[in-house]
Amino acid sequence: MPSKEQQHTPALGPGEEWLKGWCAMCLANDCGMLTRVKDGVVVETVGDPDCPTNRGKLCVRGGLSAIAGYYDPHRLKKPLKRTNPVKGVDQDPGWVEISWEEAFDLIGTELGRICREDPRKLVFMEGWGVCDDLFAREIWIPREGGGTAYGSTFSVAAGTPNMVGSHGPLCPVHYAANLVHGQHPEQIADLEYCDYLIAAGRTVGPNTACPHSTQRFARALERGMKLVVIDPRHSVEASKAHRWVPVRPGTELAFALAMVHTILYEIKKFDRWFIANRTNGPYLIGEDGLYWRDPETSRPMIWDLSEDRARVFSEEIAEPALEGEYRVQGQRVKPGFTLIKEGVADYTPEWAEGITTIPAEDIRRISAEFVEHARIGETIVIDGFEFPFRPAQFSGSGRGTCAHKNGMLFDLTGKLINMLVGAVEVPGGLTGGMRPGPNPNVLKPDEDGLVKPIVEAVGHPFKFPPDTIDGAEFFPNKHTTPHIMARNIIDPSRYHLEYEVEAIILAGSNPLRSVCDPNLFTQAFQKVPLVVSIAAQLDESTSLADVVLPNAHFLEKKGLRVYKPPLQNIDDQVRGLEMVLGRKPVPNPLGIKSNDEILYELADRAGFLGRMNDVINRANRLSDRNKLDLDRKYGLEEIWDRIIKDMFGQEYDYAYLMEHGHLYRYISPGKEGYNYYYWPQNRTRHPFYYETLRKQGLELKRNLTEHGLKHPAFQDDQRFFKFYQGVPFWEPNDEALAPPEYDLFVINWKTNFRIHGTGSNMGNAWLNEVRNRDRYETYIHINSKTAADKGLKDEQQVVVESRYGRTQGRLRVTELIHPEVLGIPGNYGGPGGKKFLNPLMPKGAWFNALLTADEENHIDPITGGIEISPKVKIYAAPDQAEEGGVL
Amino acid sequence: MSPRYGMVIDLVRCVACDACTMACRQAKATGPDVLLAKVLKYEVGRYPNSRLGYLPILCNQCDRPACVEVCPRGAAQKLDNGVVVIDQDKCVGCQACVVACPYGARSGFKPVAYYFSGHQTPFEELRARENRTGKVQKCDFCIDRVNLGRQPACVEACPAEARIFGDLNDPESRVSRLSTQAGSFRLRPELETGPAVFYLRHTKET
Repeated sequence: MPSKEQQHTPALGPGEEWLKGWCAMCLANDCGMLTRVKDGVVVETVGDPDCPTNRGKLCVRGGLSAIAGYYDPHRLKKPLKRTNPVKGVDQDPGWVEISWEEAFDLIGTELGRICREDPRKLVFMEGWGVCDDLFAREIWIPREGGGTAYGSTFSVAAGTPNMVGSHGPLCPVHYAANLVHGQHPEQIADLEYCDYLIAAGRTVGPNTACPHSTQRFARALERGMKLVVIDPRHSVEASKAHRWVPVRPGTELAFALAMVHTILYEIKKFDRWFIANRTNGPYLIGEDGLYWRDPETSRPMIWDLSEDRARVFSEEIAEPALEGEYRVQGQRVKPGFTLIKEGVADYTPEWAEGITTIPAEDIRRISAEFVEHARIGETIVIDGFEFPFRPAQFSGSGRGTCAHKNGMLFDLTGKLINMLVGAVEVPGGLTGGMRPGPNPNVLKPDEDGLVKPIVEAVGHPFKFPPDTIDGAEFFPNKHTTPHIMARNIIDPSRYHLEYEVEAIILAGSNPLRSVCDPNLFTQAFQKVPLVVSIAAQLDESTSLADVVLPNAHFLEKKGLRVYKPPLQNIDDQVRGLEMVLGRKPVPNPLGIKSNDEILYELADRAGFLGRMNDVINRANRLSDRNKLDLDRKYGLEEIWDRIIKDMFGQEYDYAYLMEHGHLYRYISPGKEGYNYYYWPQNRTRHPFYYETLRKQGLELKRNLTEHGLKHPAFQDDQRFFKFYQGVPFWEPNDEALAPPEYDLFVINWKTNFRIHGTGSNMGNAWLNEVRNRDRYETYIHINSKTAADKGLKDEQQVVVESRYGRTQGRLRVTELIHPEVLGIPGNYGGPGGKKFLNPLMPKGAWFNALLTADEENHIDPITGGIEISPKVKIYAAPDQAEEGGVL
Repeated sequence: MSPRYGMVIDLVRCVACDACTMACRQAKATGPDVLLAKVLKYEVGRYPNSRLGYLPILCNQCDRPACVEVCPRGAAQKLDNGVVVIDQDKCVGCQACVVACPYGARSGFKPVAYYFSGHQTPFEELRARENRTGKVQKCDFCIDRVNLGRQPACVEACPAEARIFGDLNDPESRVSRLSTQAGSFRLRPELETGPAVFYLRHTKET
């Protein structure tokens, strides 16, 4: 809690008004904010002290710099139409301003035709630029006839399966949480009780300066929580850590496997009760890698040592076997736990040291500390309810560890570490990260007794010929794959597609910068007849559009934000919080429209407004009382009114939110704040042996065989299917095979100045100034010893080159990075075309230039995520070369 | 007794995020290249036993301010509440104070420039009177804000709640308690300037 003396007492002068709202300058979009306007001029922004998340605080990137963004003369103001038919990042599009009416008419007519003919020909691509809007963001809604439809409100209403996020391929962190916790987007660190937190390749808040995550983090440190940071570079969080453990990038999996080995073979202390009662560890697995099922009930079975026979898992089993091999009906079966234990038998700390560069003794020490702090067997009573108390966590679902070819194997192994000490969905452990917070549905078991997999862990249904442009039929557990989309637009036959894309709508999305292989996207956009970009300023992808629609600055637009739990850490301050945020906007003299206004109007022009209303009803689960009529066109405030009323009662509406900024309540206080409460003891189980993954791999293989197909991205199917196993295993990245001249790895991280490109923070003048004077922000980082060996000096212009691209920037010689690693933070520089962009777009080396979207060798077969630690070489820049970009 | 304003910056809580820098930039509406609050970063030790260090800095509002001493026009003044201010009408921009300040806390005059070349925003226009070519600028603990009952902008903004502002003359105030506890330190104590900004490192509130 902020102390009383830190609360604001905003004073108002004549002609002044405080406007309530929220900040939209990162993905979370959940910091309440007050904006002071004096005679129509925006003069001040501060955090809203009454907002239960940020409690009066804003971050450097966020609302504090918003004034410079709002008044930026480089913002787009009017719709634009291309006059130069030749598209290219260095081509002047020859923009002419057109009216909103003309733009809506032009786009609406074409969308209407496409959606009537074959809606698959429309691709809707969303990015973080519109994450404060409702109609572009990801939704999952029940599909008629079973399953879940994925998309955005707009794309589902349009009838296209082709909603493609441009933001995900470098951050595929969801699958393991979707599978093990049955939650999305991920599970998060409970800092209310945690005493020992291992953060691997990720931030738990401060590195990106989230105001409320940082407050909770600071409180946990004061409480005495120990932090271990596994990361090739020393971050702000590492500076607070009990241990900083530098690791060779892409080998975190070996470290995690060695921790599992150490716990099982050396420490030999783990939460046996949890494994036997709260996981499928005792389930018997047949030689095909699948559950051995009772022939009568088809249910998985457990070996009961007290009766020396296999029994259906749901019976009262006195002595479930975790170890050994048994014979059932002539077949050899083993408990899943045994397969995991056998799987890690060779992954000793000494083995891992050679791969990771982490000394074996450190792996042993960290493993021992972790088990010790987990307090296996202890309990805590909250509101009279007794929970297991496990204040130790292995928090690994970060892009630094998951965005590798072996990234999802790492995350799944991290989950094993937590399950071994029982630190899952209980106080102190990794816990609920899903809206609306802990509730009886989250851990609800399926017919096999396991937490139901959701979202990416469900597995996209197979269909041939396939429907999706981004390969969902062939990567059933993938995250977003815009890179596959781009290739398939250029050549649909690669993935056996029987249609060509005719229109693409980019909403707050700039894949040329945020993914990699910009030439691939350029070619794709050159081929698509109608590219529309809804954008706040001219960026690389927008410069390839046919029509540009300006998106309002967040300060000047009305909107509704439904709060989602935090992404980095949680404690009782926000646990079970249900909140909506609204905004009373500052003047919008040019009448620039919001993304939601644009999409709702386009749905009307294209003739699917009724479906749009229907999807709004379903996506927001509106009760009959507040449902939209399908044949009526609503004002956005009317729609928000209904969502607000449905969540908080008929007495509330958008006018209330404009007055108060937010509306909230705590829906799961105290004991109800932990999902264990709803399904205690052995009433639900988490997957410890990953049978679901194994099963989905076999299904895909069967489907491909049935249609006489090979996996379209892999010459050798085995390289794909070996990842679909129940037991995680060591798999080196292909980068290890790079020629020796590529002698270093390169890594990237999000920073306090640039976490997501939202709110136009890339072109923000104030932010640019502060980040440009930061000692580390726009530099290429190199270890001092490595620099000396190569004769390179601080501040020198250097070129970093991978096998896929090059970029140039200034060198920072430092002690804060692994000697085998170069670091390039943020997303600066860029793929070129600078002539036609906002001139404030920041300078520096462009990390993404060094990546490749080549499927066979460099993406994770489970998530479709791109390998983000390629091998590189570094050398002094030739004199004439220019900073940034692809050379 | 008049208050003696002071600040404590808790480096255990600080995450070097520059929210203070940006809040100050907004509150004081300074022009390009003029930052009255900053975060310095540095390194300690050799890899792998190395550590990132950081030090948020602002004017120390010294008890014996060198800047006031050297000002030939009496523009630099120390108020009864301890805050050092510059009377913009008296300042001739000689920059003697900029040189004299041992903490580099003053920004010498720069020709007034706008953030967007050739374009003055309504925000800049409204605040233009405070940014005059040829004048020296410095942090004044947001004294106008404080007089209205608010906190300095950097304190209000700090996400880590690492900054504590208050009256050093009030022994019961939090800032008094923290500034006198073991482990608190000030910058360059050997100069005997008597800074009103204190830092905490590896200590807990008692």
